[in-house]
Amino acid sequence: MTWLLWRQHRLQAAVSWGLMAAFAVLLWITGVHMADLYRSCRASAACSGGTLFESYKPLENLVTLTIAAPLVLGMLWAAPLIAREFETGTHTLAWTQSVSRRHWLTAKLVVLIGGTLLWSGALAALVTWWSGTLNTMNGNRFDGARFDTQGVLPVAYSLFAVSLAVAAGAVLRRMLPALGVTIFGFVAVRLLVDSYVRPLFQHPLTILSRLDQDPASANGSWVISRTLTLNGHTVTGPIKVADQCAATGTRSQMDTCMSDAGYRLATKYQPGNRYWPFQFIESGIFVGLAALLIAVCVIVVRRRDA
Amino acid sequence: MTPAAVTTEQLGKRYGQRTGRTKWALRDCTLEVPEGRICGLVGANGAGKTTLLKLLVGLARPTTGSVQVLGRAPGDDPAFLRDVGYLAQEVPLYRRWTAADHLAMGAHLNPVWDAAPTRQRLLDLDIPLDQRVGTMSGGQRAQVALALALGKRPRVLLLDEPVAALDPLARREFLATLGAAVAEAEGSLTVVLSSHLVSDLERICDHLVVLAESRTLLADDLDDVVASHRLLTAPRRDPGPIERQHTVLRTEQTPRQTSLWVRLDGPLHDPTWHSDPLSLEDIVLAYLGQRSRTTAELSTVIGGVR
Amino acid sequence: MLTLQLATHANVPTYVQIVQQVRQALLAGVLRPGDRLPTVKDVVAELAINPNTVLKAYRELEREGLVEARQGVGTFALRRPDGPPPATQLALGRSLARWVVKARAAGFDDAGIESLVRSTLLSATDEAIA
Repeated sequence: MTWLLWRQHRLQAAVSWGLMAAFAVLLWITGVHMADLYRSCRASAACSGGTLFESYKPLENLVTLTIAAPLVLGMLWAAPLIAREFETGTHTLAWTQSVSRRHWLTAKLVVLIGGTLLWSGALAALVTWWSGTLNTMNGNRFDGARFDTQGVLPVAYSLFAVSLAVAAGAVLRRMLPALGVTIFGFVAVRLLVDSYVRPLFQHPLTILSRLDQDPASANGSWVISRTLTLNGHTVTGPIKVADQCAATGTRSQMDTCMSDAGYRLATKYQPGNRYWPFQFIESGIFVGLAALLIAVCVIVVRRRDA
Repeated sequence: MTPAAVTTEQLGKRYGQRTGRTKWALRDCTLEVPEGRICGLVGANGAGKTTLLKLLVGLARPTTGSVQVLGRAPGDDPAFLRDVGYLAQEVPLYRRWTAADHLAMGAHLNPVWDAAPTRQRLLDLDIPLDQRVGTMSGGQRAQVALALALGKRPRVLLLDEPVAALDPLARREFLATLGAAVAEAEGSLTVVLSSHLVSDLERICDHLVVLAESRTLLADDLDDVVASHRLLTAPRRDPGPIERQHTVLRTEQTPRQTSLWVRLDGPLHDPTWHSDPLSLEDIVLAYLGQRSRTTAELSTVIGGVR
Repeated sequence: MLTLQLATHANVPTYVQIVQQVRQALLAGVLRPGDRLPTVKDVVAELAINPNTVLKAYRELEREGLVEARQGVGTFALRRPDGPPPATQLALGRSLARWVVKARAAGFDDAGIESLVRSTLLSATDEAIA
């Protein structure tokens, strides 16, 4: 079975690991350089964080794009593994060459999951290491795409994507529908969890601050929302500037005026020390889903008529 | 008596239980194929040939009845899979692989593999071993698939319409290769092949099963079939006496003449009937033309129980 | 080496055709005592017929004492069947060929020739009985 899997997927393996190697080299070189730049910048007095890594913007975008890597992995690796075999009828080939269905499926899934763990683990480690400098500088690893592409979460997403792809392949037995379900399912679940479930892991904290001060949330926290409040109530609709502040000149003066009038900025956030718990909770959800989908795949393949 | 390689007892398969629209693909199938025979399975499309073969190899599980191949029920265990070969109708092969790749797969997956004779078989047929299977002709593909199935030295080989899509020359070569393999096996290889071309079956088979509307109408030794079926003609008269003693498959009455296609269930006592032999094709057509009659009335004759 | 043929739509069973062809080959001297008959596998590979059919034919020939099966080696011709000597066979064959040429020139097609031969054989048999 090892021979068969290698022979069938050797091209895919070569391409994926080749790309990974190239990406690793790129990130290694630039990562070291960025760390040096930052260190020397901090050592000197005049250091403007904003423009320091201006030229690295494209690379930053590329790294952000790795948010799609789990889905791409699921589509390229997992969909052909099960769906295409059923579609072309080649699932009967191994069977009629003395390999039991159980053995066939187990071997495929073990290699798939093992490969996924290795590949996505390597990617996550690379991206996390490389982003170290930027994280320290901006203190924003808990927000948005950064949270999704660093730490252990990418590995959990990848496991989910490949499990979804093999389950879809086992149930639908056609490549294109399986790919469609994988894309749709992956995006839908990710969006749902991202928007509605993640904020609920732990109850967020709220802190009030004057408009003329820096928003007081510790470095590395995840800011969920910022709203304007007046005497404890959220201000909705057009902001009525108090008459006495209308005449002020600069923005900062107006801020001071309004703060004196009782306006506060309410920041709802998750403190930075909740980063790892959040990573693990969300990873747990996706790994749980993955396990469920693998079980579905196994049951469907074993029990259904070929 | 030679032991039976394949036995079924009231075997039935029903599909569509989950969608609510059930359909019996095969019903009340009882037959016995002695070891060392080449058994032809003939019937119209949709008669249940593919279903029967799938039940025999274990790719589907029976709804009712039982099936035994080489003394055991078909299952997902390597011991069974080692002895049984199967070739599906679509001849599934990995299109981008060469013939040599497929043979290598056979060598790696099967506990027993005749490497040299299998290679030689393909070379004798002028099939290039390093050409991609997807670019081969239908006949060559079928030969590669057959070599793959024979290479593991199975004791039972099940072929689903292997020559349906082949030109006459490729068809002849395929059957010749199959026959030669059976000759070489000296009685230890049993073949069941389905076809809707009676002429092919006539040459290569020595056992016949006729399926119509998912029921077996005939399961018998080929020589016995040909010997026991006759065309009786006489000046126009009442077919009653014949109908009572023998099985009449088809009746044709013209104003001058009565013709009966019969299976003789005993000696023909009435010398006034002129008796002619029937070709196998005519016999099969007579059975398949019995759609208006209840197929249950024309239940099976089991070869060997005579 | 003896090559066998099969006439598919003749109402003669396959194994009988094989027996007849082997017997004819022995008569004509194409197959001589001691020669090995084609193996079952070779005949099947050539004609795409069932191996049991060939076995049946060889067994029949063995029963008639014309061939002998040697385990593991093959089937060998034993003796020439009773019939006209090869020279006579050759001469008759040649005069038949001449007659066929005449018949064809006269306008007979192969089917007509066959049915003429068959009816002649039948009437000859009747005469012999009568």
